Amino acid sequence: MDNFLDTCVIVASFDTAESHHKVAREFIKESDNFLIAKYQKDPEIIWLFKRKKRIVISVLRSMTNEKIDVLGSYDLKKELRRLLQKYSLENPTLKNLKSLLLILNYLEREVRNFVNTKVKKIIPNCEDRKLIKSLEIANIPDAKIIASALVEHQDNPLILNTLDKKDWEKKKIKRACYRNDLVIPRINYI
Amino acid sequence: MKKVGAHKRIRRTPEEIREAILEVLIEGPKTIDEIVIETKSHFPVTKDFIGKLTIEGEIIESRSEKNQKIYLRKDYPVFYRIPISKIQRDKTLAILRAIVEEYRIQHGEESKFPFKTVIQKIAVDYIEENDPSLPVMNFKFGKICCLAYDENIHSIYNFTNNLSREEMEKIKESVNKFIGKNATQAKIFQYKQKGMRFYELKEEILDLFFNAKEKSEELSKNLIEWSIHYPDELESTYHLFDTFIYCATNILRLKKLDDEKIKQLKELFDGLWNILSIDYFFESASRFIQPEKKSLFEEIQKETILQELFNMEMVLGDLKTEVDMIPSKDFKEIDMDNKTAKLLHLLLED
Repeated sequence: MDNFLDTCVIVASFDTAESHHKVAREFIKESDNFLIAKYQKDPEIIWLFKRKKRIVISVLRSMTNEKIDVLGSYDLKKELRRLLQKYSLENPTLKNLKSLLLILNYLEREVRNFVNTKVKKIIPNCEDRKLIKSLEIANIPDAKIIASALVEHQDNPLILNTLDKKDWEKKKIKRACYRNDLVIPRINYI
Repeated sequence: MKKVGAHKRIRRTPEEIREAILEVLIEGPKTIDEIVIETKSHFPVTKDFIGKLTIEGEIIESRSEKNQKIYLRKDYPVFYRIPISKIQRDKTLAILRAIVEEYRIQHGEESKFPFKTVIQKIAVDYIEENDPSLPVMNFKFGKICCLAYDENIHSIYNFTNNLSREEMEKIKESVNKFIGKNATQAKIFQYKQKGMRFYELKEEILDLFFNAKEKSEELSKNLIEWSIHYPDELESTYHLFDTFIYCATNILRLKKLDDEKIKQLKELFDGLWNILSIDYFFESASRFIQPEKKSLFEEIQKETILQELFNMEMVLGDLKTEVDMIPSKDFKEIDMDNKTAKLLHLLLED
């Protein structure tokens, strides 16, 4: 059976500070036949790194007394502050942030390399709004990805692999399958 | 509405018509309708002479503005032939001329014409401090005025603008700052000023490319530093810049970094800089363009940058695909301390 991957599994396998890093890394190393949705390859992964880099650049610019919000329309610096508070992290130094920016480039390559070389199929995006809506998931990108996997599962049996118990809630996915007369896939929380 | 060319016309010889057309174009780029009105000629006659002058190379047919062709003299002195008002051109030329004269007096070499780069840097220094309404643009080697000055300009371009005693004094002050500096020193002097770190870093990166194998880590760090100083105005070329930084920092992380790859990166760096500087030129020039000339300016901008952009997008796109396909084992391990790892995690998790 093919393994459908939520983006968070791929990212966690490269994020050494993530609590599920080891298990995600092992899973990706030992399994094969990976599938993802087109939406994940483009734009989700592209935007993920673009956005994170913009946040870091914005903070770096504000720290070096340059204008902030280089390439964004809103205050990204505030966003990083919020994150720092949330995780009770002390303020990063310029060196930390520059190194972070460089590492984001390395990590982006690793993720893209994984998608280009280890993912055997990119499945089409689900355009069925009714199905997407019936998932009742507030996170629309996640709803689109799950819906794409459900459609694929009808012809090509899949296991849906994720770390996200909140958005990829079994109950909701099952309910949407009943409502839309779809075969229910196995959901694996790694 | 008055029909174009319906004014009282003057009977003239072919030579006089040619001269009249060239004369009105001294003012700057014009449409055929504007030329007809200002030369007081018949439309078909004017069109005929414009065609001949274009074939002879005396005037250049430029971009169309709302389906109209634009004509300008071959000696129109503004960089990229963008429409800059005659008042601004004349004032800039008067400043440049005064700088050359003052430089020669100060330098003590009456016959020597100073480096063009040095004249430009002095002029920018003067304009930014004393006359900021005059156009100053960012370009390949820093800030420049809208046109170049050379000693023959009087024979092809007529300008009259006398500077006041006070203005002359200020020019003297600007010239003094650059006395004894060659073109490179003048350029670096400008790069040291506020808001020019992007240029300064570009020079540092260029130097590091000559030693990229030994200094790959330093080069990567400088590329990251460069991205922090990326100018706000260049949003339309940011995707190219970002792709280049992505490819370059990853290639520099390869365990085996061969000369061919470095050569390829260096060529791309030069190509990228060419596009960024053209983009920067037009973006910084746009605020000096009169509203009625905006659409012409935008057409010139589009036409100048579009082909370059397309080519660079293709080359960088191919390189990105190549970088993405290199096996992970060919890269050095990603080395990061705990704090950076934590920061990375909180960024990715959110």
